Amino acid sequence: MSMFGRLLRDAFGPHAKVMRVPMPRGAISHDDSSLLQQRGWRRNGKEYSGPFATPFGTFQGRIEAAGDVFRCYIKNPPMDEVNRHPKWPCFSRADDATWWRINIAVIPIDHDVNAVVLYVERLLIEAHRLAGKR
Amino acid sequence: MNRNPEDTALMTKATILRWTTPSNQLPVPYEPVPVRLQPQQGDNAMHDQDITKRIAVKYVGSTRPTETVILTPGTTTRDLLIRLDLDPAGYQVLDARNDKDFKVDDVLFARVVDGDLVHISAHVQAGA
Repeated sequence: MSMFGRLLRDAFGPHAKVMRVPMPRGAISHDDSSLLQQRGWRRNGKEYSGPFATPFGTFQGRIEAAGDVFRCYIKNPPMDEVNRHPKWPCFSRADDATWWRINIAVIPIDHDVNAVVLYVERLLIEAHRLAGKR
Repeated sequence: MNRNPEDTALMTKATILRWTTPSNQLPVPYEPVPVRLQPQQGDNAMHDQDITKRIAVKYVGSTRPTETVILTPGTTTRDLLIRLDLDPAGYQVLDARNDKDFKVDDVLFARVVDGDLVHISAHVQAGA
C-alpha cells in the first residue's frame, strides 16, 4: 500500500476512500459564487427573478419559494424543443400568454433556489439536444 | 592540427570509460532490466491502491468554498457525498464539463480524471 493509502487508512479507518485536502498555500482559489450570483438573479422577498442561461439562448425566469412549494416560471420557452423532452407535460401556460409554469414535483432538500435554476437550465439543454440542435 | 574524426570519437569514448569505470574494472555491458507485465504476489508497486485522483468539488447552490478531495480506486458517488456530510438521497454530483449527473452508485473514480471539477447540487425533479 502506498504512503497515501496508509495515511488515509490510519486517519479515517480501513474503508476510507475519500480524503479532503486543504488548498495549497498560494494557490488561486476557485470561484465560490453561487449560480444565482453568476447569472445575476435578484431576490425580492420570496420571489427570485433572473435569466436561465443555456448555450442556445437565455430565457427570463421567475421562481417563487413559498415553504415547501416552488413555483417556477419561464418566459417564452423554446416549446418546439421542449415538446420533444419527456418532461414537456410539466410545462403549462401561466396567466400571461408569454409566461409558462414549470411544475416542480421534487423540491431541493435544502430549499435552495440555485438547484432549481440549474435543473431548468439542464432541462432546456437536454431538450435542445434531443431536438438535434447541438 | 587536423584530427581524424574517428580518432576524436575513440578518444571521447576512452575518456568516458575512464571517468565512469574504476581503473581496475572492465566496463560492464548494459543489460536491460526485465519488464514484468503481470503484477506478482507481494508486488505493491503495481497495485491499484497506489493510484489516486484529485478533483475539485464545487457547491452550485451555496457560497460554501470549493473543496479539493482525493479519491482512491472504487470510490462511488455515495462515498463522496457521505464524506462531504451530504445526504446521498438528496444531493447529486454533476460533471462540470457537460452537466451529466453521476448516479449514486456509480464508481466515481472511474468516471473522472485527475484534476476534474464536479458540481454538487440538491435533487430537483419536474413532475406533472
